[in-house]
Amino acid sequence: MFRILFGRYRDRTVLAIAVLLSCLLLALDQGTQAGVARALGLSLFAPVQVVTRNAAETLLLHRENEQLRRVAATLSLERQRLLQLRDEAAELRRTAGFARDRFPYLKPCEIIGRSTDAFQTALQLGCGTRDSVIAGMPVAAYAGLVGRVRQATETRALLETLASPEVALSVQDQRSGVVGILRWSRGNQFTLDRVDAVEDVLVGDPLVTSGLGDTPRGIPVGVVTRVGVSLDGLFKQIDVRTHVDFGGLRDVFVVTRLVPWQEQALYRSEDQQLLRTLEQDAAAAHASTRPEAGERR
Amino acid sequence: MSALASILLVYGALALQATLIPALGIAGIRPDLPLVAVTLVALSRGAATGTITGFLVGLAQDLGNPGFLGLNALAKCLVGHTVGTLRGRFDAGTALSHALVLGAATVAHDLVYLTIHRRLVLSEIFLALGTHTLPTALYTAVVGSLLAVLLAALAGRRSHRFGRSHLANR
Repeated sequence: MFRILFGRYRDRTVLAIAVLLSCLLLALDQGTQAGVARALGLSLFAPVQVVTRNAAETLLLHRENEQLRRVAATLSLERQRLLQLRDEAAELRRTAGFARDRFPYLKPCEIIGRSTDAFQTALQLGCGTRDSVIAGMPVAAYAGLVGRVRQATETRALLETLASPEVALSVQDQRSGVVGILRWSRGNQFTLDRVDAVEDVLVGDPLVTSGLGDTPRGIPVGVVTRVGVSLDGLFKQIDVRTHVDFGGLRDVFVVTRLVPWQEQALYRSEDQQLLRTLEQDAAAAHASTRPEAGERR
Repeated sequence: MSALASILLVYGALALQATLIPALGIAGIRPDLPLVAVTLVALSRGAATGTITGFLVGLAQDLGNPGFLGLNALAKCLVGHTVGTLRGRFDAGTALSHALVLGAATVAHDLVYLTIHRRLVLSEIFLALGTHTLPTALYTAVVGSLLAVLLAALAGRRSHRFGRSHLANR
């Protein structure tokens, strides 16, 4: 029997075993699937994961450092302006009797595993419940929203990107305030659904989270790239490109809670010291680029 | 292709897919190097090896997305088996035939993948096939056939045949 199966019908037997194993893995519940994936990742496929992770870090580290230094200096200058606007907005909200504005508190997490298939719908994070990360929390990157935490163990979490069919995100046109539902199309291309044909949406409009649902409002999502009208003329057909390229991510930030928009609540003491240093560096760089009075003449 | 060369090809494809390939994306479309590796191994070593390689490569990819553990393994083992079974029926020695096989393999793979991943929602499946799979198949075919030529050059042969050719056997 064994000889016939693995001799005469070897190809079909191997295929049947592989298909059976695949279907068994697919049929497991999510918790067991995560456990099996973790066990395989630590044993059978450990060399693959080590090779891919180290190669990626080496290639990207230098380029990212350059980029971060430039972004940090620019952000520091931009922050000064935003703080003035924040105080004005807080005063207006207080006068109007609105609740105080709150700000996402970010927990940085490293991406320790990724699906290498063409449909990047999930990423593994190196932080878990011991870092206050639990299922349902929104996850952002420098450029904007990435997705949400689907599962969390003590040391790891599974991040579901916006490209997953499970994620339906309510977003808002930052210019006109029109709200729609973001749905994945391909790569970092999405469509904005449920927008009436008469609503005001234009190409180039930035989109942010609307705050309807579990995701806090105001997190950048993407930009409108095309606006048309559906065949029945009732809805707009809107194409969106997200700011985040899900395939190129290395670090993300989990929004663990919302805090008052104040320096003491947002930054730890060592972070505040770093902030002061960055501000001094940015001010010095800004001063050095200003032309002298004599040169202006 | 020897067993060692097959293993190195698979490792290299997985490593490059996680490192270099994201930088080569055009409007979110990237070549699928692990699928190229499975196809070339299946062409070279037959259906059984192609099936096992497809299953293991797919399983390695599934570790990054445990919510669908087994989906890539299923799609790639079917592709490995089909390519390995059909390898004697066409001339697998030219870059054009490699490109055609790789394009067809990408479409077949995504058809299986999307059917389960998009839970049989036909509109989503066809949308993804049209907007994502077809450009990916084209890109994968171009990159994969270039890779096959490169591997042939590395092997030191003028025409490295991944697969049996009934034309060559005449």
